Amino acid sequence: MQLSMPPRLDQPPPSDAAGKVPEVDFDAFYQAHFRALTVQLCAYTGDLGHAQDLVQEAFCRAFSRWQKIVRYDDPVAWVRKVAWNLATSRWRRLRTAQLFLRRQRAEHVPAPSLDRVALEAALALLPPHHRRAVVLHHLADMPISEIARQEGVAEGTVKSWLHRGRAALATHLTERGAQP
Amino acid sequence: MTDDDMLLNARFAAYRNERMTDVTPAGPGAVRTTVRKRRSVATTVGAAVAVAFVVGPAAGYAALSQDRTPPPPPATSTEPTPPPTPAPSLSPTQSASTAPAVPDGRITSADLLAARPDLPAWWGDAPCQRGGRLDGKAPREEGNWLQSADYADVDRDGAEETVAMIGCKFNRSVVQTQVAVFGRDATGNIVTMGQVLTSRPIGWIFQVDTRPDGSIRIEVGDREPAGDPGSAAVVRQWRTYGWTGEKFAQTGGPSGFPAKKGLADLRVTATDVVYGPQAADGSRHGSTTVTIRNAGPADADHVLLSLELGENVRHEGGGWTDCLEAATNPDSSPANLGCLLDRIPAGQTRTLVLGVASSGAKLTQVSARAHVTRLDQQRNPVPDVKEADNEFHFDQR
Repeated sequence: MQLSMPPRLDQPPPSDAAGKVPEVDFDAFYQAHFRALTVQLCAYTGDLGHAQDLVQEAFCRAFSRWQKIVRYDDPVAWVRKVAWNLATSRWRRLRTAQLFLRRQRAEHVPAPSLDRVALEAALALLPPHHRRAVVLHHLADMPISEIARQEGVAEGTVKSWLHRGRAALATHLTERGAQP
Repeated sequence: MTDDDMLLNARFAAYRNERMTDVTPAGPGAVRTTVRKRRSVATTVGAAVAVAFVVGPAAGYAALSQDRTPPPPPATSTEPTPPPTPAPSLSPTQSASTAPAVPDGRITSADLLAARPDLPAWWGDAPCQRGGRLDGKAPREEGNWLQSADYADVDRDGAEETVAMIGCKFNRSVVQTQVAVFGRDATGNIVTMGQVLTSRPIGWIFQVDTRPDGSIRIEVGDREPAGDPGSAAVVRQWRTYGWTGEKFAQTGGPSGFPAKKGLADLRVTATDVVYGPQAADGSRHGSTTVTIRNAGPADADHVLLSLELGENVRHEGGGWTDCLEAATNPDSSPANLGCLLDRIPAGQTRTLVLGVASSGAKLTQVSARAHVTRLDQQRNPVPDVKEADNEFHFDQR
């Protein structure tokens, strides 16, 4: 059986009808997407510094092959997937765990709002699949079909994750809100 | 949209607005610096790379999760996304047009040969090393050697890993092969990511082919082809393997070989040989209990048992009278004790207690191997249903 192959990571999809390569400046691309991607990864990992590292690394990898990536239909999808893959790769976490002690990051940010704290606490209680689906849908504004493609699962599976994730999130938020 | 959806959208919108102001981008300049450093390191130290990638695993709750989901394969998207606003490049002279790919886990053959990488376990009790230096070509007698190195982003994180095919030769002629994947840690050291496959008990590994989607295709055979009279009957298959998030598993291709008609499935086991104290003539004596089973479906007209115990061990004792013929073959490669048995019908088991003696106090090898071959009436070798269990590794001491 011939299995279909997804497009190669470091090769561009077929160029558009006109055969033109869009001129996208890396700096502008970085500035346009870094914050939004970091917020998504922050919601998933629960750690802003960690999220910034993941997204910065994804942009480093994008820069190394920018001439190819810039020709993709959606270069930010490539960066987003690499960042999420880095966040979910257990092996990468393990092999970089030793660096934890070397890393003492101080997070100098304004005092968080109660709503933000509550949402992050509720997200942390979700299983990873459900949390990814909820974050990608509600924070990255990705349609179910796109989430399914990124996660490599059927759309029905994503719907199920979303349904269960949203229900659990609502419950956690309600319970927290009801606490004195 | 339900009320819950609207509520969540509002909560996430507020979250986004608040968190966006907290983010402090290191900036595209830092990206260039990191990539330039990596390029410099890669240039000066071969493929070695100091990955400035820092992940704090304990701070975020994702690190505490039991998420074992494999990362999805990166793929380009067709999602219509507004293109970023074009702007003049701030530093056109630092264009990435000539920047090489991040080396990461791409380890050259030369670096692997120099690195003494830790190898995943070999199959069974094969006396193969799990560390030490790899030879660049097959050793004459014993040792590990690098057969091939390919590259693929097996865990789909944007950086390639090294897929190595490594052979182990022992008892002068027996070969086992494994496919293992290596990467680099944050300090540039080679780390072992995992094992994809060993040639036993499958039979044989011919070659590795990494795919652009990060999967690893391996051509396997149901037996060793070289020197095997039944080599014409070797069944070859391509099987596909992928990273699940914590190990490699088969994702495509056949999971077994087709059943063969008219063949027998011989299986052999043997107990360790424990030699007694040195006798007056300097020899030491011991025995092994060998069990041979024909799991069918065909009968075996003859079975040749070969015990590989080293050059200075001979056969002795009455146990060998169960053999039609018995011989000590110190000059064969590998040296062996041979026992030709008569017919073993399908479903039957033969047990032999075979005495052995070493000519000196020292043994030339501590790892021993038993091997059985089915012979036809003309005593020509016949292929087996499953070659892997035609051999058994045991010890002598």
